[in-house]
Amino acid sequence: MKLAVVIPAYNEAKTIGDVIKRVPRQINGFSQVQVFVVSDNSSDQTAVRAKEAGAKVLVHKLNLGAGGATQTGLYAAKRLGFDVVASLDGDGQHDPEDLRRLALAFQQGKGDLIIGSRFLSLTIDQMPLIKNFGNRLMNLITRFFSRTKVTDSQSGFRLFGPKVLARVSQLITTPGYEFCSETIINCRRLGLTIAEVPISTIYFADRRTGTDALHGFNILLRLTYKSLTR
Amino acid sequence: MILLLTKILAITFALLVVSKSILSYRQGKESFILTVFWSITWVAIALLALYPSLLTALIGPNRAGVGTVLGVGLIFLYFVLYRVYVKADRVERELQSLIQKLALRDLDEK
Repeated sequence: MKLAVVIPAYNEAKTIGDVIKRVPRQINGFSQVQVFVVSDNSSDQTAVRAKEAGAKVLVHKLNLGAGGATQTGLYAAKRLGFDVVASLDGDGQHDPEDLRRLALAFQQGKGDLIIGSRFLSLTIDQMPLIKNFGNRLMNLITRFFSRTKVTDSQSGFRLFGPKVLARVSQLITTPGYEFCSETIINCRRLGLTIAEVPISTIYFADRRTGTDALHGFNILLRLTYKSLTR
Repeated sequence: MILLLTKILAITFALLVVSKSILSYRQGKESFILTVFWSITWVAIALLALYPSLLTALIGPNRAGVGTVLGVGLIFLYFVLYRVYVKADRVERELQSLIQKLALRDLDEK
């Protein structure tokens, strides 16, 4: 089996090279591990740094958002014959070594979609209080729409198995950050299984993105619209 | 007091929309027909806000009240809002598909 690691990135030139280099290239059960970076119309040197670090780089000519960038990476991996795809953030908030845990859970048949959960780890206290509240709020909203209990619905560290990859256009239809919840909702709707494994929580002072209460409200509006117009 | 606030708001919005529309026309971002349409619409809204008696003069004193006109206007506005939302959603999806196709085409060419 071949594993693709997709990193959606927007202006992550400072961190992307290090993240790519830390992705393990030897993972049990996989004959090949290839990193794909989708630069979402970055205005800095994200694409250049990613290429220097050995990733295959795709460039969006306009900014779509994390969902659109992840979906592009999934399409690219499928097109190049990869069987399984993992996604992780390019800002250094995920430890690429945790990829082994997600891969193991997949190989043990625990789910079609494996989510790396910060809330299952012992380092969750590193998450700022406002982000913690925002994420928990989003868990509730996602649970309402999907009827599935997930401890970290907004985690971008995920592993998509072949069954998920085969239906990627049905799973992600929104380009923004709401794709995290949408994927879970649609997995449930399509009868695909979901499992979670603990991953490290890494937060640092100048981190710009993430989920807070206002962000959650915006996602709620979009999910409601999507569920009404499906 | 509320009447005065309505007048101020209507005139402010009318000035904003008309000036923005004329500017967009000069920059080639908006067609002449659309600029004329929005200008006439908002000048009419400002005039009705300044002189509510115009409405009675237009439709007659016993045929409809201001409330009826506002109600019909509100329904029309919701319809316009729905159309704009649906179109914006469609354009967003088409744009997403196009940007992704371009990114994947570049990957194929490498």
